[in-house]
Amino acid sequence: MDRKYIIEGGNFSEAGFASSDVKKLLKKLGLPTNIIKKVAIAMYEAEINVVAHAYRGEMEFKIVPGQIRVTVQDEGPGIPDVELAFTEGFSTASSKVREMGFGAGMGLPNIKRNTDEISLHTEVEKGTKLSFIINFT
Amino acid sequence: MKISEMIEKLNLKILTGDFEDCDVKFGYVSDMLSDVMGHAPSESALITILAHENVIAVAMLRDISIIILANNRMPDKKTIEKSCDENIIIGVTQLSAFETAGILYNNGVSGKYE
Repeated sequence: MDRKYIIEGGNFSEAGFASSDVKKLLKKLGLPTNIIKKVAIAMYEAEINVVAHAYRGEMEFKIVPGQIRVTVQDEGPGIPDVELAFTEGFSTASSKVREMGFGAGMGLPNIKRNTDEISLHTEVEKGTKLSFIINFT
Repeated sequence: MKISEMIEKLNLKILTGDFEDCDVKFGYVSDMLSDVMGHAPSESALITILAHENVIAVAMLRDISIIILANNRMPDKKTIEKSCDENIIIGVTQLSAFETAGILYNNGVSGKYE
């Protein structure tokens, strides 16, 4: 089962649409609550990262037996220091984004904590591709 | 603590119409959405001063039962509508987040760090 979502940079009112939609789908499919929670957290943070930092992005969601696979590809500024971006508390979010309650420097750490596999490829001034897998039985 | 008790003790004004008077066992206080996303317990009361629609998305994803807006923060119409669509109760109190959390805690609502 596949789903694809377009994410618009800067559009906070639509942020969370993909993760809410997937959450409803997983609930319907009867997946365990703890798995749904992990997927929802990881997808939401990934959506917010695109909305807060990139110009546009695409999110692909796939369920295969025993695994949920998500890929988010964006066109944006890229991440100059990936290690730093994974450090809890580090954020490059603008003051406008912070005022809305984002930019705590917990996005990528939250994604990492809730997924079983994660990979990030980034090119400065071009964009970032983030993929993660959540296993379930 | 029942929602009806919160209404009485916090002088809470419910903005989302009819509600199920459920028992809320846990609470969380935060104005950082990633923090709420990462740590708020499900079926809890979220005390915050953030009154925009992204709070509803996070509350929905974390199965939060009620959002208590402290310091009389008023959400816009769109946020209230979204909250009604997702069956999340929004209540507004004049009390601060600190006072609100204290009252909830003294009435049996506890913290549960997830």
